[in-house]
Amino acid sequence: MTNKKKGNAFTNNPIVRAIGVQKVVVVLVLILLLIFFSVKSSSFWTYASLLSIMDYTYYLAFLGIGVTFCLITGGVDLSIGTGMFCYALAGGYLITKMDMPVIVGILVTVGMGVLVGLVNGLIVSKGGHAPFLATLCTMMIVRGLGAIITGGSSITWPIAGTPEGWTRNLFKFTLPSGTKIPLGFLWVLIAAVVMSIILNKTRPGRYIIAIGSNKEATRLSGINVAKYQTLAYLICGFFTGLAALAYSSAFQSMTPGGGGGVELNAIGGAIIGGTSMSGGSGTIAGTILGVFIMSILQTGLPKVGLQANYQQIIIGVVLLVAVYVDVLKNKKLS
Amino acid sequence: MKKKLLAALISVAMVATLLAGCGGGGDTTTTDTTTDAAAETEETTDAAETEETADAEATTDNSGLHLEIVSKGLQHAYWQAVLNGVNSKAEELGVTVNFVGPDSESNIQQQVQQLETALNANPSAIGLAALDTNSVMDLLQTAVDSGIPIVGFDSGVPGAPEGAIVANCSTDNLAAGGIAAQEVYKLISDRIANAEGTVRIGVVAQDATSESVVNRGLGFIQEMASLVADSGKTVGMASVSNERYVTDSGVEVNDEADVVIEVRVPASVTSELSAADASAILEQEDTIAIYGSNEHSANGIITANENLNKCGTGEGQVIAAGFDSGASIMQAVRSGVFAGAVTQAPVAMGEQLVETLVKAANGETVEDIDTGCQWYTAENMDDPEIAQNLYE
Amino acid sequence: MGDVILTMKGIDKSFPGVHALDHVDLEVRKGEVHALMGENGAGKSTLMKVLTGIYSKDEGTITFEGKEVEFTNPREAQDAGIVIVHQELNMLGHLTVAQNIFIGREFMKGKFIDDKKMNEEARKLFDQLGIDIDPTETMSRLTVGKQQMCEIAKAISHDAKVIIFDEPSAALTEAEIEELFKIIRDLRERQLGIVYISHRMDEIKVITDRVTVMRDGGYVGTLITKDCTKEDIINMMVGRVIYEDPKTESQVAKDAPVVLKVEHLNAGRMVQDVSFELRKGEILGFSGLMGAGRTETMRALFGADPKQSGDIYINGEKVDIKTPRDAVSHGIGYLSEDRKRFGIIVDKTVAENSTMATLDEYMKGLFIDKKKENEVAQKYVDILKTKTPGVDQLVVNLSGGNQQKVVIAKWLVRNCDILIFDEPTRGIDVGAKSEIYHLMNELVAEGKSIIMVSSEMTEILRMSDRIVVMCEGRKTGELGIEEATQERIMHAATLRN
Repeated sequence: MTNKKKGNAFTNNPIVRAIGVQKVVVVLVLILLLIFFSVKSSSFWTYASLLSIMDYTYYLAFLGIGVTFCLITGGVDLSIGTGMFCYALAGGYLITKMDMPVIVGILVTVGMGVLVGLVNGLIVSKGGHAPFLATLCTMMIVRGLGAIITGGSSITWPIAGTPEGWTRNLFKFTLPSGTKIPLGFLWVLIAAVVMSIILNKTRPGRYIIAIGSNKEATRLSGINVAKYQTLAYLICGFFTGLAALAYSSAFQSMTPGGGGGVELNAIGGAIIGGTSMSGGSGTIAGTILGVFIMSILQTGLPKVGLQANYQQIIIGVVLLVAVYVDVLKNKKLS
Repeated sequence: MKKKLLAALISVAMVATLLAGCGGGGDTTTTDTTTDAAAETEETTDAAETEETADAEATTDNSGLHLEIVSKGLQHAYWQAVLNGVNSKAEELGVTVNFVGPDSESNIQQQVQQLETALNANPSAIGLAALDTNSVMDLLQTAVDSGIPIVGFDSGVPGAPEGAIVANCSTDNLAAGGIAAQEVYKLISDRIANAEGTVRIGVVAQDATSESVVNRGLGFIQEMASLVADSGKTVGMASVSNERYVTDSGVEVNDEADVVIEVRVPASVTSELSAADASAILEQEDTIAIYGSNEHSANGIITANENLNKCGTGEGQVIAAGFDSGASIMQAVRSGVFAGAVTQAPVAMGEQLVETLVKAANGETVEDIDTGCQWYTAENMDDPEIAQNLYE
Repeated sequence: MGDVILTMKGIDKSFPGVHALDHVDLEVRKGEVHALMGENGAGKSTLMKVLTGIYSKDEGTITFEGKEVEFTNPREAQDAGIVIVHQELNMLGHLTVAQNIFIGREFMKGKFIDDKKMNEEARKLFDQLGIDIDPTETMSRLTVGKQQMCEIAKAISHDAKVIIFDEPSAALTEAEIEELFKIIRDLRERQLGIVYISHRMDEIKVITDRVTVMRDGGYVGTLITKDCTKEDIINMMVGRVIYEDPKTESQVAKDAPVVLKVEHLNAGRMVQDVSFELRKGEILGFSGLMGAGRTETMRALFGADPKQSGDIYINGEKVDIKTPRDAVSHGIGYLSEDRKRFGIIVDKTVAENSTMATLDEYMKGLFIDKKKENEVAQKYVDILKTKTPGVDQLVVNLSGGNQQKVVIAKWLVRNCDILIFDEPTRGIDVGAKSEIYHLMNELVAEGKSIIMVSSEMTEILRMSDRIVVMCEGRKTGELGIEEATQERIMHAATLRN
């Protein structure tokens, strides 16, 4: 109760109100994390460290932006983790094993994402299946699909320095001097701004939010709920495709069957950023901040000498706290 | 209800389309690789022909032998290399071989069927790299009952009942890891000798259930520890190391030793997690060498180094080594980011498998064979002897 | 009336930015039914939440059976003997009646639940109360009225000394209300203290002994019911006089065209062969008991639920309505009986809710024209006199009546010619109610047509030009307002085949 009192003084601050309470809290947590890791690890506050945090941020941010749309409709897409791997494997397979032009690989990667997103959307909206179950099934399907396409072998997208390796430069641009520029951040930023505008300023965005807030009232307002629900999953699929590109240019290889669990990092990022699991509210800016926390934890925790299994526990606890905040918010609303 | 059904149908249809599209792609590549393989076989045949005339008499009694080999896959270049070795040796010995494998390493059921078909063909001997020993247990018994000897290869048939498998042709992974340690030690021995404080050797490993992957890490650690100890310096494991590796390697934890070996194991087998661990090792000032015990771990080191730019063989750079091939690792070796990497010898494995199978078919006693491995560097990676074992 | 059993004195409670209770007093005696009245937002519910320990009070004292008490959760209050029968029933539909009544304190036989004993105990309880319910019946199969009886039985089984009824009659038919009153009188006989929260003035006069009125979180006063008039109570509640006559004759022109014609509509068990016409400028009342199929008829008409057969004509033209979208495009708007579930989006703003059905018209290219959206929302806030600090206010922060106005605004913005008002004043306080009535009259005067589904007889008689009565999914009567009386409507509403 005393916390609540403190929170009131804090929440009534005009600046805090303008930005949104949760976002301010997230930024504070972010700063605390940065301070913590800087103190605990001398190598944390370096340019190289920034580059590697960025490697994690790109794909997680794309996944996060996409899944935020599903979460806002009151649904979820669990297929994004294994999907990201599957699409990257398929695209990479075409380029490296079948000698197709890189652009074909990119189109297939993103195209598969859109297609699976559409399938997810139709199963949920027209089929009336629970999003959790529907996308759990597609999660398994795409995991198997990735293995089948590549015949079980891992795939490496064309590596930097080769003529076909230009996709790597899209995210990490190497200057002639050898300095690397985290160019991908620009794309994430552009995507975040564009999707934020779509979510808040356009009709589809408005309807997607409305569906998550009160699906039945939205339907009774004469809105084609199925269409916009499908659209949310389609957007999510598209961004999963982009995430696949980001992942395959940041990292060396993808193994078939991999990617399970990545979706939870992205969903976790979105929830930390204030997107409600029960739908109806969420912001892209919040998601980006939440994703930052996830990627900083992922890069920072190994540096402070924590073993993998302990890292998982800490990330799990962070998520639990975020979920708890979400529950508290919903309580307040009702 | 109708609508639901329709939606379900649509989803099924779409997935089917996806599958069809991808399946088609898969087929085409297989053709491609087989063409390559055929071309290579032609070359080897030329060489083999001369031998054959010489050994003609010695091999005549093998004609009529038929071997069945069930691998874990077909499409991956590794299995194609095994197949190459198998084909050339079969040609040489004048035996017929049917080499099959499932579409993916997760398709256990398909492999079981393939093994069943192989048994029904009543071959002289069977080579098997089992995906899951339990699923083939009945068939192993059938083979024993019908007197068909089975030789394990690659990862073999772990946990098979006594007597079911007459021998194994596989890489000794402990030894393979040891080779990496020896080669890396050559490059860092001076630095260890001249070091004033502690120096650190990092290992990015996997906590895989597959023993072969773990052994590649353990082999490195044990060999490195004994080499350092022989040089008169003290050696210990970093306290942040993975417990399993500390226990299994038998090296004591000691953060103050002259040489500290730090083993990092990510929570799951993905490049991005390996990269985070590799970064954490590379960023420490006293790190002089780093080893990635499989393709993923090595790839993780490469990703980390892209940002940190610390690996190389020059003054003050970190000596890096990997295991297996693959586009990224080969590029890293070629460009000098990696001092070198260990590769298995799938071609030799294929050859020795056929040889062992023929012996077993003829009733000779056979024993386990280490099919060997090779250390490749920028200088020797184009030698045909090594290049045949590398694949992107 | 016996001794005082419960006294709340000087209760004060503040939430951030809201002074919810301002030194409120309440005194309940043994064997009395004490009405607690006030407009929505007056603080009745908050006061009861403070009493039962859901909220902690900032100031004041609660004395129960002569001892000062402070409950920290509803469980403690319940154990002490203070129980609430909620407006929204808290029943577990899949469990049986007996299982519901004894949930959380099941009879055990060793490690196992003793269902037999629970059924016996429940039956004893029902016999005591003179209720005819089978304890082994699944809860969801009971009518709302019966479910409420179970809630009451549950409260009594807790050995309650004070029972609070929070708008118990809102979802009940006239007959069920009668039965409820019988039980309440019986409880009064047994010297229980009863707090009765309701908006229905008629009931207050019939069942209660004293009335405490609250307004804007403050205590206004306590009256002896039989010594005061309806108007006295209303004046205390709203601070102004409201009086409206029932309608005596139809306001619709004789030659007014038929705007909507429904023929042989069938949709499940609850809508069987329903036909009716709606004229321009008409308010067509739909009367009937709970479960008569009125809402179901409206939902089928609107395309919200699938229909099996039936033709719909709008302005003489046959139309095909399969989804709410079709209905809206034909100019039909639907105000649902369950606002929060079907009408508004509570965590969105007034402006966003207002343009929900019409967003196409508030676009500037690809983007929503926020300025235009706010303007139109403000226009209807003014027209409807919606009480809101601004169009940016979240609807959740408005009172029930104002939420209803936002839903109305949504359909007015859409310029719907046919409006279906399903229980438009349910859960709305007296002042707002009368505003909604005025609004409906203005709308039909402008040439719009309204179908009004209502369970309140007075509302039906006050507003309708013509009345359709339904019973068990069938249309059982149609009366012009001139010939309609309560008796005639009730007769038709109970015409079972």
